[in-house]
Amino acid sequence: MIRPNIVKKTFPSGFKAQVILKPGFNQRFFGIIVDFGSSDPQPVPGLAHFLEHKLFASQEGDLSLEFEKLGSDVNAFTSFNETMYYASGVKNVGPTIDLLFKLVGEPFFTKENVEQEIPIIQQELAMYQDEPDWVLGDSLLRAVYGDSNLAIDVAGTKESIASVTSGMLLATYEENYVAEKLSFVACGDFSENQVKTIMRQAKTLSETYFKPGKGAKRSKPLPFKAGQDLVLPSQGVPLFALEVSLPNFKKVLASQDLAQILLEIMLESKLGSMSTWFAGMRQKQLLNQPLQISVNTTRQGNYVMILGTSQDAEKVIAELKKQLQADQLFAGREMDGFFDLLKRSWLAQTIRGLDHLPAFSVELAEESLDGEDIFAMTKKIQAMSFADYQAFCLDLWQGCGISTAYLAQGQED
Amino acid sequence: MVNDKNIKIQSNQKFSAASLGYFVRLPLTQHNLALATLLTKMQGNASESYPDPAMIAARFSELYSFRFEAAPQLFGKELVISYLVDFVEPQEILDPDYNYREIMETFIDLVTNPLLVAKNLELSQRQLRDEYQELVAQPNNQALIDFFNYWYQDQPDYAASFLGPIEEIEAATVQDVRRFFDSLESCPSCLLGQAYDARQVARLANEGLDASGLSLAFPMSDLAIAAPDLRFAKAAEQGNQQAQLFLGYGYKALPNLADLACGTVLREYLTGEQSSRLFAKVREEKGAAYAVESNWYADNSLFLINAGLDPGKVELTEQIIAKEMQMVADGRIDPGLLKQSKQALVNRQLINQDSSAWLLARKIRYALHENYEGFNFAQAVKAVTSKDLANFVKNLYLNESYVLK
Repeated sequence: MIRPNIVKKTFPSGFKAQVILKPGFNQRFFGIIVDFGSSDPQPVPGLAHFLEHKLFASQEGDLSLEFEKLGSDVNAFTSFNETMYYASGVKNVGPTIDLLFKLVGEPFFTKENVEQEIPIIQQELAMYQDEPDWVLGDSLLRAVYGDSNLAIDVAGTKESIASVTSGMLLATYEENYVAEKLSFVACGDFSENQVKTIMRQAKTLSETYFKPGKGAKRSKPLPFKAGQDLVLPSQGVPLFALEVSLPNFKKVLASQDLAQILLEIMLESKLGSMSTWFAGMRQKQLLNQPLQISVNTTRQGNYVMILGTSQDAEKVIAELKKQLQADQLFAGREMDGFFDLLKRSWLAQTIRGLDHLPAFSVELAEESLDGEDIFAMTKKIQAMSFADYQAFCLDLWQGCGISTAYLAQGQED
Repeated sequence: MVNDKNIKIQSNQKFSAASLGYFVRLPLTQHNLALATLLTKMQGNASESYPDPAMIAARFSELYSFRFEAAPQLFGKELVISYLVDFVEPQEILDPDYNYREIMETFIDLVTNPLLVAKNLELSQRQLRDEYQELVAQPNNQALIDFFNYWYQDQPDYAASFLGPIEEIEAATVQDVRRFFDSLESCPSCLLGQAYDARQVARLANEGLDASGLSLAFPMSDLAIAAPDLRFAKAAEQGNQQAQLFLGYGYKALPNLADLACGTVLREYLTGEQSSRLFAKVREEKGAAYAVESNWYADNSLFLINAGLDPGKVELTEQIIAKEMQMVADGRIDPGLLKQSKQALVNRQLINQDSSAWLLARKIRYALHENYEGFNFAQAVKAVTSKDLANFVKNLYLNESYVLK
């Protein structure tokens, strides 16, 4: 794998910046990531996401329009513990960076512009709520984590969105948008001089817009209620979900991302389309399509989510619960061979990722907040023995709790 | 071209992964679409050499996350079965057992040696039933299906927007699929793509692919379907959170290349960015929607505007859209926004060249449309004037309005 050239700096305020060089690519991508997201403490659920929407407002109007005048696309997203603002285009490097810092660094919240945003975000939530798996995920996470920010949709609830005020937005902004919680990334085909200019610009702008400091205290993991088994009204699709709360989730070889990937490899080996278990379920016609498996890591709690469809969800859930017992995780001889195969897949995905500038930049921006290094991690995985991998996974799995939900068939809401 | 076969591989000097597509063209009918969907699903599940989905999955991992995707695509009156493969360039990985020969043999095996047996057929049918169920459970998909069923009510062969008729998929037998697969041998086909060692990949493809269709003319001159004359409004109730509004404008003539550019500029002007006319009016001013989209289906002579809306604001949105379309037709066009929209399209065209998947998609579009040869899309976009845009919209008529609540 040919590692791209990356220039990294941390400025005295604690603000971080990096420039990733991708010769031959037309796109220039810029982003500012904030170490604050939807499941972090905030006055009402959905406030981090509301902030993400409303930072586009400025005294002069909607800043998106200014980016568009430069020929740049601009957007943002909110995840559990991060919010990221990004812009991309093919030219106007300096002005685009200026504008991006202004967007993140110069809030303009008024009663009017907040009220104007409420129905837009409510429509965004309504759009998600019309997805058949939304009810399933929402109900299951709320059963396990209560009405916490981790369980509630990133956008909040219809009521919490309606309750947002400009004062709440400003207070939350000031608490969280501080230098040490922010990181800038630029990616593209830049000359050596351009790299220097971008770094100087990032330093000056970060000092102009962001006060030094660490910001709000980090919250601790939430308590969870394991053993929740829900049957929900039909949504027209026989969907099911299984959630595994992981109280013992922690860094492996100094890396949280590595811990996450090892569990993903283990679950894919155990339940994925190559596995004997999945072949058996397919033969019995209990599962036709591969399961969707994700390991979610947040400050408020770490959990696995498994989603699938089955005409007999109850039976599949019972089978999954058996497979996910600690003494069953590594039962079967295939796990060793699959570890080698999936190590190959992981390496290939990392190599492929280098070609996708936006996704790669987001990944590296997230890593800069968390002190991770994808290249070091890739080496560690390739060098890891099966025995070590097994020991790490079993340790991470200790004390886990399983909860489930499925949509009943034929019971209309 | 290799030995007069339709094989065109370019050298990949930019991406860490190579991408290839083998494409087979045939007329679009409901029957062909249903069987193409079923066949490609079966090919993704198993082949003669890898007779089980688990074996295929293991083989893909062994080949460093080899990605194979088989599915039909629709282009006006034609259906194209696409077999796409994407693999990390062997030079990126220091493994002597990972080479172009291994990769191409697997790809060609998946395409040419499907496992046409009852077990694979039934699994694929069950998978497609599940996919269909999931698809129609999403209101915007259901609304799109309904919209096209009305639009092509008198030409049902063109109506299917996703998999094809699920009843026909479920009723198909192994013999039906076998007959269909055998018939593809003589359909026009081509292999396009890019790989670091293009010459070696083309040679391996030439050795392994011997369908007679590879020597037939692939481009078409009359792909486009004329818009029907419907001019009606339809509605249905589902009890969703959002109402799905679909407004279909028919184009009065068969679109030419200048129209292709004009429709794309109109799409950008109305809904491409935050400052676009409908985005600004429907979302920012009225708070009626999170997003408004438009699409120019030039091969279907259809300009489609759609949005997921607050159910109480459907009529208001329809009025806003009608007014904006009339303004463009009257030549009341914001010159600054038009200039910006054209520039945005040109920029996006440049950015898209950073995506190997987009480059391959463009290759098949150009290979299929006879008149695209030498067409410079960016130049055509730059040349669009306010008058051109107004004339384009004057040629559109509101043909179908569909609301799913």
